[in-house]
Amino acid sequence: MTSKTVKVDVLARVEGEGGLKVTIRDGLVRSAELNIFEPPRFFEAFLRGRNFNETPDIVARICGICPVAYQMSAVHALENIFGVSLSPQLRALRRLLYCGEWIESHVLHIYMLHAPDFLGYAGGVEMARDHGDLVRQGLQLKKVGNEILTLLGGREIHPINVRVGGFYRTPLKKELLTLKESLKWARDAALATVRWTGTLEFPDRERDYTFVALRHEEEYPFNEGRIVSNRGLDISAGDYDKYFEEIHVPQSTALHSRFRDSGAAYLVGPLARYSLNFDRLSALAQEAALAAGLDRICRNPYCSIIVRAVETLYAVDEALRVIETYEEPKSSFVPVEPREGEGYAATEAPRGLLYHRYRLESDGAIAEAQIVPPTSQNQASIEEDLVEFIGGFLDLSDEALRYRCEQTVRNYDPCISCATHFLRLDIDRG
Amino acid sequence: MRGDDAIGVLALRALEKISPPEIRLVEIEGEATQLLEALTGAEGAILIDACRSGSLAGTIHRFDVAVSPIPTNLATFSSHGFGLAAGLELARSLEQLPRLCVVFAIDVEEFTPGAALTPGVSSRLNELLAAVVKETERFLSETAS
Repeated sequence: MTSKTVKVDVLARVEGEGGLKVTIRDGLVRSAELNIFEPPRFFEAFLRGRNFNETPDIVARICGICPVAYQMSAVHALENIFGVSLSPQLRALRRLLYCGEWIESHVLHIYMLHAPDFLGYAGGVEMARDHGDLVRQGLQLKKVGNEILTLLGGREIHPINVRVGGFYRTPLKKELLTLKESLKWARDAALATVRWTGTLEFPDRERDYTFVALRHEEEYPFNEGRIVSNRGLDISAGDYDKYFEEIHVPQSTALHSRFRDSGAAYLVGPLARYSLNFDRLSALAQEAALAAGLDRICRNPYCSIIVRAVETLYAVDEALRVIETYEEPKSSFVPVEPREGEGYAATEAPRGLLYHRYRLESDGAIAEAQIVPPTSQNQASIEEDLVEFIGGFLDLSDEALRYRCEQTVRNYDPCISCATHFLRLDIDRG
Repeated sequence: MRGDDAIGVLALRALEKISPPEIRLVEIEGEATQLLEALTGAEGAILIDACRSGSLAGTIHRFDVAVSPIPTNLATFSSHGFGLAAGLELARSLEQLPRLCVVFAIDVEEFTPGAALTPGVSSRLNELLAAVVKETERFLSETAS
């Protein structure tokens, strides 16, 4: 039996702390385990006993990269209990806020975290020395997302303007129009980003994933839609727990999600969203995707950098559409009355489906909260990617193999501070 | 405020009362692109932040970032790894690091939301401010010459 062990202390360019162990025997990858060792973040417990109105501000603290996603899933789940519907303009503003977050999050990952893998740098800082103009373009594009969050959310990180039923304050039309010029620049920059990512070299690796994402009747999904898959799943958020379950695995303090009946893994995030909703993208985003070499379905996770660029372009395009059609609403929120009940919602965080469930007491106190972040749902899929793909790279040096493992994990832009935390990598060749 | 973690913000508010008008005071949340924007066009920059170096709470560290990076054991953890140290190194890579750039980091120990500064940290606030003022005077002197 051949025997070799490669160990790395730090897996960089992911959010959080944890590790990865890859076991190789006789030239075959036998297992890959994500070892998330930072204590779980007890937000579900923090929320118990708190008033429902506090929820958006509490859950925003789960993550500095995708606070809007947590706020959106929370308010929609709570509004599901109260049975309220938002006016079209409030609904559009929530899409705009989500556009800002997608731009921020996707651009950070594309330029600073993922691109170094394709261009051969240890990280974004090192890449910036040789590709200064490229990095500046990325930072400027990210800033446009920040501007949306600041205007609509009250600040760039952990926004404070979201409430159950709407917003604390809605912007004036003239305030939103101040974003228009920078968004027009951003549309060109995002288009250039799609073209540039399409020129990168990708490992020829595909998997027959079970994609899971929201699908809306008309729109590329942010806040609303049925939970669908490419294998016939079509359910409402209220049925999420009937079809999916979270299980504890020994190597991780984050729960893994799987299909309840088969135990099978599934994929959420840009690849799933894109592959299930290509026809819902704007014409500009569709054309750019095809011109960059993507098909209407993308099964190569390394190409997720192109898909994120396409979604960035869509988010910029959609933000412009919302701003141009915006009319100031009469009220910034729809009033709600506390009542006992249970509510559910799933929205599309940058990294994929984010499911929330809340049970309220009659006085509006939270009796129970359930939060299933996308990285928890993708953990099993990350492990399966490593088992399937890394076998084809075993002739690489230990250092190159380690790097390829890291890149394979980074395809997911894992946000371990949402799913707990992540960092360390061991390759055990027996 | 989160206990000692507020030291940078509290120092900034104290400096608002005593800083000369040519000094721009900026509060940022620690996100690297915000930092880069704040550094753009500046001839000199002084940054104040909380740190955990293993020294006693209240220990004040001075790093001349224009000369060398912040030591790796003090590089902060932040969203996707882009905290203060990474932000400054990104600025260096992009040739946006000011010619004069100093970081004051003060060791802290208490992060409870709503808590006040601990005595070990609050007792060093005036010393920290004096060090920042002295550095400011040096910057103004060097940029004028």
